[in-house]
Amino acid sequence: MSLSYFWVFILLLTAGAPVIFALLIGPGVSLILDGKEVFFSALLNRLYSGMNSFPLMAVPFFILAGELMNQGGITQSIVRFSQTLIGHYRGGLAQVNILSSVLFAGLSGSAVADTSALGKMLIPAMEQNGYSRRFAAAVTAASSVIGPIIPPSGIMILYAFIMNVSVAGMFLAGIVPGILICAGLMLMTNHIAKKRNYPIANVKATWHERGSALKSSFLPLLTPIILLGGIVLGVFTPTEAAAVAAGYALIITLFVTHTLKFKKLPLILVNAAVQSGTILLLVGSAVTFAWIITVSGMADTLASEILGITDNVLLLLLIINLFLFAIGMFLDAGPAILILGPVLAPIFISLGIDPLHFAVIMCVNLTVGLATPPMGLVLFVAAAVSGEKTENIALEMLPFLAVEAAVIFLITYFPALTMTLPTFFGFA
Amino acid sequence: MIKLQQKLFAINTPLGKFNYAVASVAKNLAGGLLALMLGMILAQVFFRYVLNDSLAWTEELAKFAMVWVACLVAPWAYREHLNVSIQMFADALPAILRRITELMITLLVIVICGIFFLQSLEFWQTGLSINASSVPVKLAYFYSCAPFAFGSICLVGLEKLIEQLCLPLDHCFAPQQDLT
Repeated sequence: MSLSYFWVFILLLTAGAPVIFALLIGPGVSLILDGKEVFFSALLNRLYSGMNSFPLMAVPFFILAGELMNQGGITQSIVRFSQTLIGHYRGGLAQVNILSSVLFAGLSGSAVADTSALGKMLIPAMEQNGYSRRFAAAVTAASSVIGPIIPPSGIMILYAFIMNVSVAGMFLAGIVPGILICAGLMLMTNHIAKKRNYPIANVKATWHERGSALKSSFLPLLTPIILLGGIVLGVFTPTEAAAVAAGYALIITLFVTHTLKFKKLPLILVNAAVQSGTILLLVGSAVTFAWIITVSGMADTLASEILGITDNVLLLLLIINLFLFAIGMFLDAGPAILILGPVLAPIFISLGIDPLHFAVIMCVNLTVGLATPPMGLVLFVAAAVSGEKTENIALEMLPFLAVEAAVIFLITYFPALTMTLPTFFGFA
Repeated sequence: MIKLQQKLFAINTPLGKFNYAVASVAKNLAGGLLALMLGMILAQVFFRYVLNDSLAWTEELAKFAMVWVACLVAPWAYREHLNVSIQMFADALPAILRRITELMITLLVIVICGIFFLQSLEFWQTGLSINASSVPVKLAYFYSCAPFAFGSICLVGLEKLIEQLCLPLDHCFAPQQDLT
């Protein structure tokens, strides 16, 4: 099969075609040009079987759980809890923003949901308290990338599905990088807050206030523990764990906190179905495209090209990180993982890199790409929520991006940071 | 030229209403199917751990429901520009070039999805003689989501094509969803 499908795909992608259609039209046009229309049925079979997968079902359930938590007003209780813990430090509200992102990450697993939910609440509050709007938006955007790194994570499920890696292993491997990013962002915020003399809260929360805030957010905060505990202990499969998380979110918001009304449920279900449906179609198309890449022999050609650059693994890892970072600037993490995962991962696995280690490097790198200009979805959401220009937020984000790049470097060259937890629990 | 435009608009108004109605009903059905999927998988967990009796049919039916969800959402996602795309380079093009690019993309979507639609009819026919493995239901019921998705995408594509042919060059078709 000729490689025309690849060039058609690239051309369509840069011309603004939806990724899902570029993934289908590329191979389709190539089959027509090669006079091999009979293989359209094989493409259709791949598309269908790409979506008809039980592990993939975790994606719609996690999206539903996130929507339920979001609409059920869990955000306020999480922010309040974070505020009682660290709100009294200099730049306290910015630190609250980062800590809330970490706590929220355990519920939604989505950077966009995190930016939208926390940004709407915290950006105006930060502005009222003397922070510049661009800084508030930058902190929100930078910290929200923790969402898909700390479990549960939608993109990790996609990677695990397409590369046949353990979901539980990936979830465990994401914890330390998530915490490292949080710590790095907090240190950077502290430095900036001191330099710019950002406000310090006069009143420190009492232990009673902390206890009361914890009480109202305790049940939602149990979600990641139930999830990870269930998967790691072998009680549920990741898909069942995602369903349990959605069921748990439903029960908490409807019957315990009473923050969700029954009449809102149909809208939440439809929103979650639309988000899930678009991702599932993309997955199906990407599976089809990945199959064509393999059949056409392009994966092998690309592998030998990359290996021809150098045989030094460390240097190759640096090159691939720079490449992924550049890709992340233009392409969303989900499609990038679906398209590049099957091409790049086998090369590095053949060089002795652990599949789980490479998976986490790729996911963290492309997740950070969500907050980089010119095509950072999180950046756009932060701009929409704050009313600040995207370019101003992007400039303000540079120190935070440097922190995130440093974490990518650390997890790339110190595999123990990602591999210790999965190895301890027997997933690596 | 103006008469042709008026004729095209005359076709497009009912087509647009039809596409909107189909896509709206489909996305609501998808919401219902998602609830059904959740119910089935929670029942699977409940039966296995509480009643010590594994259900054999939940996994297969939930998978079929998931594929239906994806296919039901397809026309809505295409119509409302919800599919991920890179607009940066297209935005940099002059208006006339940009419109030509949009037209070419829409044409390709219609042609390729049209071929997939025809293939999916054959795919559906293969399901007429085979039952699902866990329930006595013909696979054709599950496979019929494919012709629905490709057929509805073709119709939405046709609606977009007419819009792109008739609307002024400065009209923006780019994604306009509420990012917040």
